[in-house]
Amino acid sequence: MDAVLRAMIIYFFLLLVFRVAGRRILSEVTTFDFVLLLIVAEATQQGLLGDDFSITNAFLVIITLIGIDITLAGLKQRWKWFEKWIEGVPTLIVENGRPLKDRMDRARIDEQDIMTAARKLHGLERMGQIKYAVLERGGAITIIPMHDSGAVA
Amino acid sequence: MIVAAVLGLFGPGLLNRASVANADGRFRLEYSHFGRYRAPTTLRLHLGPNATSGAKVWVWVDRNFIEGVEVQNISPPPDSAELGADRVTYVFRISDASRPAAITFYLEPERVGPLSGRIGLKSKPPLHFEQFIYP
Repeated sequence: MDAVLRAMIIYFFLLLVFRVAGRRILSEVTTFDFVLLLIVAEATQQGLLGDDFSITNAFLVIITLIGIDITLAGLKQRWKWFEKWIEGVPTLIVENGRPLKDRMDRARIDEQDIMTAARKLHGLERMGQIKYAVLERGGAITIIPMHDSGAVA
Repeated sequence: MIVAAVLGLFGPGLLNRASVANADGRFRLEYSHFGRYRAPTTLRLHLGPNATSGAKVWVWVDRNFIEGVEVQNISPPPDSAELGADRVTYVFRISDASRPAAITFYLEPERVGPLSGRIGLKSKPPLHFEQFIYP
């Protein structure tokens, strides 16, 4: 029971932490984010396994984590509100070249982040060339350029 | 499988604790049906009032069991241990034999598979218990 309980607590705790931290937190992994991820994994491992290093314990933890994941995926498919609550919805952050400041602030995104995505994805140079920018569920920013911007899509 | 784990069929859980007592109920052992390799588990020996007489209590465990586990700790610590051909006897000092007492063995199994043991008090029939240790 302890293995199942530990795995469940850690799963929902991490779910909550990353939901609160926002989608952007690990969407673009910098060197420091990578190190942070390793430390989180290291700290989690102790809590997950306790002082039981048997194979059985490891199997139970893995099965529980994957089991919760499959269950949540099933629930997300059945209830759309649940999916929204767990994963959020894609958020429009630029509309016709105009940044939507309040939404950007809430997601902790600045114009530099949007322009980085615009340059990378479409080679755009100015905010005015962006028709829509959307913060996707996974934390990535996608850009839809203005048709008359002359940029290569 | 998760339900079985919660129930304790793979180690700690609701159905995992077991106990066995001698005929007059003065001497009872609490143990786990299922353990895991190198994971902590306990044997708790409950001594009822007047389970022994005198200021000392002799508790023996058969050698086959002791060789299958690593004894991490015994609480309270025994006064001494005596090695016999087929058993290890621990001697504890007891202040008042007319009151109930308990002795806990903190163990880590070192063998995988079925593990059976016997534990007894001096001059009393032993208690027999069976465990299964998962890898």
